[in-house]
Amino acid sequence: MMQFAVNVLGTLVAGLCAVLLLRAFGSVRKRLLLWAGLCFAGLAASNALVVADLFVIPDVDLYRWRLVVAAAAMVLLVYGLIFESDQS
Amino acid sequence: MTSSTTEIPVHVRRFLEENIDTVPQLETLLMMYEDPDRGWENSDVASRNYITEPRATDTLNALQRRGLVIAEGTPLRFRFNPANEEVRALVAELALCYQRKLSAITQLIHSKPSASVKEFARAFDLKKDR
Amino acid sequence: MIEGFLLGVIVTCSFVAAGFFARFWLGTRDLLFLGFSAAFALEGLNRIAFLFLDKPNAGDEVIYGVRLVSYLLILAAIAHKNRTKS
Repeated sequence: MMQFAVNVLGTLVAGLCAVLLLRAFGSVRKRLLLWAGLCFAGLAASNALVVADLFVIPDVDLYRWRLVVAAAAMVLLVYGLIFESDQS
Repeated sequence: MTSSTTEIPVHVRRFLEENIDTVPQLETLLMMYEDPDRGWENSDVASRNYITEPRATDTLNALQRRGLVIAEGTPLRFRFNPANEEVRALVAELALCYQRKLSAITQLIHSKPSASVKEFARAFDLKKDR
Repeated sequence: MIEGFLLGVIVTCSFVAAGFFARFWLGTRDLLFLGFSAAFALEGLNRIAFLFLDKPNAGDEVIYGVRLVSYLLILAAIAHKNRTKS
């Protein structure tokens, strides 16, 4: 139960961050917001995959895919932080 | 050499930190404040401040989002238009301050993280539609 | 093997992100960044714990507890941003 709740919360929190950042990117167009927004979208997806893995399709193991999505998301964020965070 | 940023009054400092991310933003704002009845086109701002037109657009849009200037007409012209009298007074004080303590103010602007970082923070500010 | 590598990528990136956010906090004094920094640092540390589990599905309570805290930190940071008068 706790896993379910925590991962749903994670999906929602990451999703919220993604929406706020991507929406802001829409008007401000600072690329840091794009990479960060995509990262949080990826983290939301990763969390959603955990829920799917454990509760929706328990016979298929999505563990590796969960990690791939989360890792890709974090790489996007770090890329954005390194190359775009000093952009004025 | 005393720390020059302490010479700037606290409320001016705060206004700067919340509304001004770059020196072109500051200079554009003050330029428009000094000529409040004039409508400025993107190209005017670009040539007066020695920045590219895309940068000028960026700057004007940022000032508009913060309720400091207003856009009207076709072709699009921007005019100094503070959200309220308090803001107008702050800009006036900032203008005075900038005349006297130019290096302190530019130093303050450059010492803060970039506009991108500030926009990241603003993205989470739901109170105002910035 | 692959999972270990992916976890390593996630952990390293989490700490790097935490570092950047900590710098942003120091530069802007905006607690939002402190919240994000702490959340990513916590998640990084948390993920390291995954290395000691074969397949973290059985649900170690502590791991999920820590993860919950990191999400709450982000929510708190956002809430704080919107509570204070600009």
